[in-house]
Amino acid sequence: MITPVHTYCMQSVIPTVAGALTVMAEGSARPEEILEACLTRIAARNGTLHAVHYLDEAGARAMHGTGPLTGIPWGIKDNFDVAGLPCIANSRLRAGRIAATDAPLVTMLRQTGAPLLGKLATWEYGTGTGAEHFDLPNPPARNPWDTARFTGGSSTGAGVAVATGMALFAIGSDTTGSVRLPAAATGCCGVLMTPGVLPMAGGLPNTYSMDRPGPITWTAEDAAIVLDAVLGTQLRAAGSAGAKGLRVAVVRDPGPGLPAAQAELAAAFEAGLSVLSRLGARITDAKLPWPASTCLDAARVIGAAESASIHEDELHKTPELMGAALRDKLLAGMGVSAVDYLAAQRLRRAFTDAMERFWDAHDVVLCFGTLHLPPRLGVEPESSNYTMETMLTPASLAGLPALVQCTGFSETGLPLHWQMMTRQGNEAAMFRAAMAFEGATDWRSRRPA
Amino acid sequence: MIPPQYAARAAELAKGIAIIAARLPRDWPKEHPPANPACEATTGSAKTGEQKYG
Repeated sequence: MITPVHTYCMQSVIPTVAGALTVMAEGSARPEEILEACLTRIAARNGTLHAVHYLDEAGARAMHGTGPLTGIPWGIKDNFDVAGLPCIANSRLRAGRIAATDAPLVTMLRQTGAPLLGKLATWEYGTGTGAEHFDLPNPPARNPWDTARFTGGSSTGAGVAVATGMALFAIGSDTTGSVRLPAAATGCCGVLMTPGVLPMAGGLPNTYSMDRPGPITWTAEDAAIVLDAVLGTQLRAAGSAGAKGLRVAVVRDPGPGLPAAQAELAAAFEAGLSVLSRLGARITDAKLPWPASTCLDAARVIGAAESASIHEDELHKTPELMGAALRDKLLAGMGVSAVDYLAAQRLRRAFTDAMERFWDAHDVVLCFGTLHLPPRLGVEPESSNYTMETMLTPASLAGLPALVQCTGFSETGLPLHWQMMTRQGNEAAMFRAAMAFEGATDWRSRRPA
Repeated sequence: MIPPQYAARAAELAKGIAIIAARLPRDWPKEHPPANPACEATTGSAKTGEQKYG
């Protein structure tokens, strides 16, 4: 028997992608109901959380395509072009800009039948320094676990939208953490695939060589479902194989110049390791070929220089239209010498080669993402430290697949997390570990109030 | 080109990024990488010693 319209969406439980597909397949919910529930949540919460910058309600309602994600509403960071919608990347420099065509990734997602809700919050140009200056066209997104706290950036709306059920999945972009930091801050799963697998074309570039799009979902299984639908992969099936026998290299030390992870992150990390060990993973302590802190130095030099190269003309002609964070990053990039840029790129080459050898003995690296809990928004230095003091850049430099997932909650109810990395093309190993952990714990049952 | 009104700020930020860059390792091998196709196309193979030009 088909449940009457709105019965499902009136429930307070926010479905995962997997759950929504199941109830639709069973006939106990219709795509229109799933969409209405998301729109209701946006109407109720976006005025406080500012996760959605442009809502295309009519477009979402009109989209009746069929495919593996029919009826799964999603949003995309406002640095990707969507035909007919604004794409200003939260910048006065692009005020009034309407995209003429869909970015290729948007086209790929439309073909899955998933209705696009609109454009999600971002830092200006999908970049920044970690500092919040409250000087952009749209107000900063707020963390639904504590609205005084930061959401993680630069895909600032993506994690918020998914955690609160405004969207069932979101697409962000990541140069040195912009998918993984929002996932960490909001208790979601954020994934980076092997570079080039998901196209960045039609997205406003931040750097030439490190930008990658990535899904943010509530569960690792949901990420696998979305990626399978878009790419024709079999990650959900592969990820269901369990963690038994996986060679998991544990890297705790971020290296000189970075602090140790905050105590609650570290405690959840160790508890999670015990879970993976019980599931049969073979856990060993390891060191990366270069410490994460050295990778961070190289990524900062490369990132600043490449951003400045991309946006030099705008910096020269209209610097006053920029927010302080973007302008500072570009000004710093203008000061990078060619010799320093090449030193960073040489380290990158050597690190990438060394990681290739590293994978002979390991399937997955397990480490922290950021070393901090979600900070108070705009409070320095904790806000910048959240973004800058991380172990995220080894994957950025070497182009490694990476995944951040929730490992529990702090005493004050803030999400905790860890990060996995794996060899290029070996995403299945990462999903095996993440989905096994997810299935053995109950952290996915808690949503922000 | 740095806008003149931001020259002082740029100089301050350049010092910061230079400190970061100075921490990067510099002791790289001095020879051409053997797999550099541009190198091999113009000067021969560093690995085999083959000389194409000069």
